[in-house]
Amino acid sequence: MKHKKLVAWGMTIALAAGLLSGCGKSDDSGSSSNADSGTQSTTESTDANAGGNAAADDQAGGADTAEGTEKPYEGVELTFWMQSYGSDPSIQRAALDKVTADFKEKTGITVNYAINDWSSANQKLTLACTGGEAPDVGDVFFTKSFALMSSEDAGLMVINDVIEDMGGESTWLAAGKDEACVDGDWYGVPWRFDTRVLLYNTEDFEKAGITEAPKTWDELIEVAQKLTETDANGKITHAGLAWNSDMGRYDQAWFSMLAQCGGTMMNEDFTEFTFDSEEGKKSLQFLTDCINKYNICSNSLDASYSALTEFMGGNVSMIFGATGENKRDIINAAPQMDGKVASAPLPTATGTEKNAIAFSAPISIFKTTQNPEAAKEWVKYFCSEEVQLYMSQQLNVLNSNVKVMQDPYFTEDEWLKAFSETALNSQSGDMPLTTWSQLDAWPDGPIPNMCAKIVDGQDIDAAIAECLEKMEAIGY
Amino acid sequence: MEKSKGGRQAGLEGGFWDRHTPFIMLLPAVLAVIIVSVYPTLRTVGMSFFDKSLLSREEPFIGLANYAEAFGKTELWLYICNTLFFAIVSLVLGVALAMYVAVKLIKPLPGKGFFRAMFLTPWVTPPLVASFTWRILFSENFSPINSILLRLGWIKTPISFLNSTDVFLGFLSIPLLMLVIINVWSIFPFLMVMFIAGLQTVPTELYEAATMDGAGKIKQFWKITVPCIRPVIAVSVLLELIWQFNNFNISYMVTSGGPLGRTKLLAVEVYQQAFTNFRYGYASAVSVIMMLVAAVPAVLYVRSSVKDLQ
Amino acid sequence: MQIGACGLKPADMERPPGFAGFRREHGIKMKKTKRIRKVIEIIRHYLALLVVSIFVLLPYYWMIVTAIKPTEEVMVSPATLLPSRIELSNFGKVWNFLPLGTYMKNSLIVSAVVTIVSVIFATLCGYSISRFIRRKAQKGALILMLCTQLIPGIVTMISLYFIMFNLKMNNTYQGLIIAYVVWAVPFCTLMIKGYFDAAIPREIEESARVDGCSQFRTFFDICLPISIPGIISTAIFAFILAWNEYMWASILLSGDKLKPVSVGIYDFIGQYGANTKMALTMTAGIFITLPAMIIFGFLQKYLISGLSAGAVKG
Repeated sequence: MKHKKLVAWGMTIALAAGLLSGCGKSDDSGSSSNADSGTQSTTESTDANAGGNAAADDQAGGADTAEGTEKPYEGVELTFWMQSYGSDPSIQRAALDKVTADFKEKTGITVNYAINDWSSANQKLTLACTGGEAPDVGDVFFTKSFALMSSEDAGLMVINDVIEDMGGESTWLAAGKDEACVDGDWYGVPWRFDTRVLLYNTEDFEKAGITEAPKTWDELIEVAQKLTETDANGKITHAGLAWNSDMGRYDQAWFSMLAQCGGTMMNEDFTEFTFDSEEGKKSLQFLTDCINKYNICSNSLDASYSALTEFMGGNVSMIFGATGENKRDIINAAPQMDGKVASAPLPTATGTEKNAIAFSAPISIFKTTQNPEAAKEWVKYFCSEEVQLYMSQQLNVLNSNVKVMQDPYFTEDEWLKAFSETALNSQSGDMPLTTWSQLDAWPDGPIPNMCAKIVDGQDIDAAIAECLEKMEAIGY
Repeated sequence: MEKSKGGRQAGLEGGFWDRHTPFIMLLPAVLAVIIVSVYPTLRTVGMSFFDKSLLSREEPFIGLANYAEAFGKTELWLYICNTLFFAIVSLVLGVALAMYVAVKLIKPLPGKGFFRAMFLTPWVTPPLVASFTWRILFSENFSPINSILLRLGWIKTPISFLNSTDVFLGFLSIPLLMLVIINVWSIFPFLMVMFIAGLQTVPTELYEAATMDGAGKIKQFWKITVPCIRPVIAVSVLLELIWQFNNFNISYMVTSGGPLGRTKLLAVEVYQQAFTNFRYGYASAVSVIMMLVAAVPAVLYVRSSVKDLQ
Repeated sequence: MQIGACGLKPADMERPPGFAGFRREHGIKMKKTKRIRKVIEIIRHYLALLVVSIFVLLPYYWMIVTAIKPTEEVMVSPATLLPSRIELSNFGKVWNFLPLGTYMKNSLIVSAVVTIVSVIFATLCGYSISRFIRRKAQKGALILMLCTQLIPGIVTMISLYFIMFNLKMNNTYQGLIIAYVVWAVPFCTLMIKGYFDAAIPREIEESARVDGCSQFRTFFDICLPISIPGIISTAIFAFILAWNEYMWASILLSGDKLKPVSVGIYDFIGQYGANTKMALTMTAGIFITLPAMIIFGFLQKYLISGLSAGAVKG
């Protein structure tokens, strides 16, 4: 009885105290000034103690540390957030365990990593940049949005010195700079890279007597027509082509099409949208024609539809816009497809334009860190060629580092070759705008919404006009 | 300890602690609810009058502009229609199914415990798991439902349950109906439990007497069962209705509101405005609208509960 | 309380109809036609239950079939209804794939604490409301509990997040527990109040008071022990709420050290919302659903009898 009462009272008091301290602080936490919130992130890092690095080596081989001295950061702890990558989370955990253990041995810094799922990643990073819980170092996307969201004491830190130390901007592919650099300031070190290729079923190709992957849109249509089967009513039973879409999301496929007919999303200085152009309309027309005119691609806004699973199920011969990890995903989930998956650069309107869009993502340091220097050491180590090559192999991702992408792992692999070729002939996919995450928000941001409407058979001009109007309302 | 000691010494008149025991007993729950539930809600109401967004430093007071914007959008009316349809239809179907099953499972036939336990499982299935599975069940090419129908020869090509964007009556689409089915699946166990519990309190003598009088099964149901468990029905229906107005899980996790917003409910709109667009002010306004929509059944509920007590 | 509609007290109703009643109902002169009619009725009874069972079990059937199919049969279209042979490797693989054990431990800890704390809060509050409803504070508390059912949880989560963050309660069990307790308490309070109203006669307490017991002693020593059935059914509600919640957990926690199973499925979703690991997802789904299902299978009897005695008057 006494205990229960005590518990009840304890809770009450705790909650009441919560109210008092919560009220005072929370009012300004959404906006700029919240100096104290940042300081808490490191003290909490023990919660996320994931590595369990019992590597109790103390002062072994200090000669080859970055500073060339004894480990100056002995005992420092950092938190590192990363999204989940690859087809098996346990591989990612093992890889991070190894890299953080090596790093600890080298510098004495303990890196506690936390892997966040994609469903809440955008939320978490936004809160981190606006006064919520932030790690010391994090794997970021939509970099410019986050950089612009950041305030005096929260958000992404400018780390031009790290970029200099790592050899300047030429170390990375152009997409790296596009993503991580705002007005000459670097907000992160590019690591992951992402571009799109054509994925096809070699067995289907053989059966239809097709020997070469299509290089132009006309060839793509022709090949797809050969591969498509329909029933008596004209309904597709086996589609030659599928836009790589999940849950009715077509914006990414369209960005590549826009690049393939020489169009751009925005003007050079990113002040105006330019897709209301000949090229823009042509690409959108192509998006809908393959579905509604040539009947080579299923119309699906169905939330349960995923191009990749359709490919696994043998309902689709080609996927337009496949990503690097797709092959392993397919073979893991549908082993019957082993040996039948191949890639080629995406076809373009006439065969001479850019093949696809490309994305890069950086590793950034948050201003709230207590140990900026140690954090920089970690970023340099994590983004070094050696570690990046290792991570790329483990996580099935491409890399922004030019030298890493020149490694035989990328250039000589049958599947990855198409990616390294496309990497050199691509244009940026994400626009450097604060509101980009809203403009391209799935499912109801203006751009995905426009693409979905066009796929659904609505008028292109009207859809573009509506999209531009909505973007105007959001602002950019 | 002090409380009880004081009480014992002072007897019926009671000391300070004893006299205030009833009030003190309220405190933990009431304070907790006020701090963690009411206070954030009031903040939300307050926020709905500001143009608050994570993306901008200023948050100017803009009066009713958020509400004006919301009601100015045709989409919002669609979402309100979707929400009302979703809540009411899934409730009606859920109550019908739950009542049907409850009446069956009150009979003293073997296996009733087994069936009761089995029918309760949707309730304890985490919504993420249920939604993922239902999404596959309603997919075009990987659904066992389609496989069965194809094999039976009832259909020639697989049905795509969640793809159609055609609307009837201005808002109603096939995907929305599918979500209603999923929702019935997930809400009927709760209703069933309530109804079974209610039915157990109905004295069998009443039925025996009615049977003697020659009243049929259906007549018995309406004349005896329903009046006897009316309070149970009223409470669970009203509560469930309010919960369904606020339902978020099914629409968000199965279709994310798609295709083209056809299955979007108000709660999903609130979530997307708040967590994708970070427009807290606007999202707050939409959630206040949501509360107002749900307030109608809620006021009925509160009034009937309070009245019954007096 | 409201059973008054039928003019009987709950104690009189504990008697379930039973076979005896059934026989009596159908008269002593049970003729052959009547017997046949009865057989048909029983067949119809089970047939109806079977149809409902199919609807209820469909997702579970698919979860299990997908999990035990050989890998090359999972992604086949149109889907095959049964596996050609049973392969159990997924059940081992999934534990390596995501830290399911940790997730379950987290869920159990959080749900258990939430259940205990909410039951304590709700019992105290519900008892006070039930016995002293004529006082202002109690009436106010009742209305407060009813009104909170109205609040859409989603948007308040932002305010709540910053409150918790400033209290350093993000990435802690406490952050989850406090929120879940508060979401569970109103409904639990209403339930337990209904139970005290209907199932515990005031006379017992009055005599105790005459004997000089303090109010709290009366409640604790006299009322509480005989309210166990009502408390159990209340506890079940709190447990399920905490077990199923995922949105708050996904906002409040980072990394997977403290993640509950209800969010665990998110681990399968890729960057663009795709989930290609169908078989493993379904296997994880089975493991995630199973514990609560087992607990529930055993407790459903108490849930219903507790509710029933309280005449489920919210």
